[in-house]
Amino acid sequence: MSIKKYLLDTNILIDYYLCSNNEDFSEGNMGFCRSFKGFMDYVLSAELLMSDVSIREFVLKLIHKMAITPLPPPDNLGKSLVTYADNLVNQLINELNVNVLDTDKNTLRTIYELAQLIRGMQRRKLKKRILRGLDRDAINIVHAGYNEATLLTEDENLIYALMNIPTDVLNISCKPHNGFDFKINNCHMIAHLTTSGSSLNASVLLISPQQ
Amino acid sequence: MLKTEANLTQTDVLDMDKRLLGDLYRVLFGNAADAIIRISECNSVECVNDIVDIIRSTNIDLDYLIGKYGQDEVIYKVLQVFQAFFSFLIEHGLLNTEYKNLVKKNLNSRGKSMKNVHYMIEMAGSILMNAACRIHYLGLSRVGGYAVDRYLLILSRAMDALTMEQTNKAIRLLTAAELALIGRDKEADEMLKPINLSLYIIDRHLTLCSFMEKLHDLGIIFTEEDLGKDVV
Repeated sequence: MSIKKYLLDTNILIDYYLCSNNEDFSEGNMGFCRSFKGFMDYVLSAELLMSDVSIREFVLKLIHKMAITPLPPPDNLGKSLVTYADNLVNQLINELNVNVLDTDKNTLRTIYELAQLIRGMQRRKLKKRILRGLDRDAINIVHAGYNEATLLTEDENLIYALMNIPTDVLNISCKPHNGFDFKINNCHMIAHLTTSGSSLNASVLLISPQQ
Repeated sequence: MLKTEANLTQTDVLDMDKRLLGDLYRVLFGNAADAIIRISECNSVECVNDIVDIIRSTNIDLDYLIGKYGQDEVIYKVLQVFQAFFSFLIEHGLLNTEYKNLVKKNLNSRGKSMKNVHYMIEMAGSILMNAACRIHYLGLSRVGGYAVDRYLLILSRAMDALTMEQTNKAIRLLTAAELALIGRDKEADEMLKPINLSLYIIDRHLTLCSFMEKLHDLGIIFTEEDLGKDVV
């Protein structure tokens, strides 16, 4: 793999957690984790990016878990749970040297244009499902496109959405990526944006999550 | 416990059991010590040769022990040495609850089945990784000048490679682990490069997995359901 930049989705972090704090010691799961660690070698050798939205989402996930933790609150909690979780994640972002991308008006305008293309689709049920599959993942896709990075995700709904967008709506091609013991789909999207006159070139690696 | 042969008394059996354990410790730790001494002076090609040499001489020693005590007994004792090491990790809080339970369960299963032995070998990679991550998380990365966290993490990948029958990769990883342990970083990197690894990547793994250990200690438990998009 020659890709030098990866944009991480939260589920990649969570799968990393699952593989390092395992409760499932079945053969299938251990096999997945061995391969996943090998895959992460490539990822961790590259420049890492995350969108501000994904980071907030991760923080929120931690907050929800901490609210129902079986342990008493930590001594060094400080002012508030939110600040505590924020600091926790910020520390990781710094230590791991992750580049944080701001979702600004430009990002949103591009997403709006992409969504309009999909809204023009005829098949109502499929259209609905695609839009639902994309939702905030659209933010990550646009960031990946503008930063020449590859979005790394395990989101099954997104996999469904990308594989089912008709080619006359958006130019997307997906093919399986070999070399690992689990399923990876490598999708490439080219979208011509009419308002700005530019085109968005985005690539996404979709990992089939743990069974 | 040993298979009791008709002509051996219980005391004989216990004696033999102890002698085997003693011999085995000498073989395994003697060779490990030898590895550290030799690896501190080698250059990169020599390093691999040295490690291959040491693996070979360990194998010869083990073969000798197998001839003396029988294959099954030696294998079970190797497993005991493994378990002793894992117990040491547990006693010092270097494995988290899940791994602790796993090792304990394995210790308690009295059946001397080969299946058990295989399972333990399969598990070794993840157990060592968990220990590496916890050591990093607890701030014990450097003990007496030794880079213990890097060592255990690279060692865990060597066990993974062995399980996946990637012998050459495993030998490189073993060599790199020893080099990283004694702080010969440049040489360790050279060793890792052909298998697309580096100490930079190993350190990033440690950063990420020690963060996961921190979450675990805060009582944050993720399950597979959390992989979904919706915030629970």
